[in-house]
Amino acid sequence: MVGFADCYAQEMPRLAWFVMTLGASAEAAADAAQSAFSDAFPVWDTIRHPQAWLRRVAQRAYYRRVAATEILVDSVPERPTRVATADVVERHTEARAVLAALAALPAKQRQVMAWSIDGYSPAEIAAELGADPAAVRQNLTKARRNLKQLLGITGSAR
Amino acid sequence: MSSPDSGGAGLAEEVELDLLLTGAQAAAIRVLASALDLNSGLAVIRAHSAPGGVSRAPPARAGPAASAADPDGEDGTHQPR
Repeated sequence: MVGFADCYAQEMPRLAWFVMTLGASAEAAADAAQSAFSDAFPVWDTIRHPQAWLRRVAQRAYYRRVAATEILVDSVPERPTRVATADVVERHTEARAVLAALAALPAKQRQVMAWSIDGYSPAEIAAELGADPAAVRQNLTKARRNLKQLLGITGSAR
Repeated sequence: MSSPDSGGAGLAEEVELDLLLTGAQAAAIRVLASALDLNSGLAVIRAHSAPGGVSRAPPARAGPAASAADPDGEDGTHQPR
């Protein structure tokens, strides 16, 4: 099993990107990813599939933050920006376009696409989300169709 | 990456979408790896998990690239899950 430090070094940026594809800013994504690793550290030796575990926990942390922000938007304290979204996406046209297209998807489609982009199969996504596999496949099909439209993909070489 | 629509006339579009998604992912991970201070983030987790530490570690802060954070290290030695 990969040690915690090695996994942190390899997976932290990947996990932050995963949360960004769920709709988070880079800063919120880094917070959620860090929170997931923080939760994992004390129980690291008991986690059998760290990558999936971390994604589930980071996803939950991000959704929790979104819900809290919607209710307590005025109570969020000012703090320095840790990772500006602009730093991540403005430097790369494709990343910016992909995040914008993902943000335009309905929440369920965006969620299954986030897992799919990270290499999970529909059956694996269904297992991780506790969802009906048929519904996951349907959402993936719709998401990919919508993404192709949003990204202007016509099948010709770009 | 899964491609539920793969096969048939839309195959080229499916491939193009996958290429775009994976290219964007790789580029963003490279930028994130340099934007996140991974050494500090790891140290904070360890410090706060030590006896007497607080229950929740603050997030990683922006900083210089951590040498251990090579996003291209996702080769055969690193499984995606």
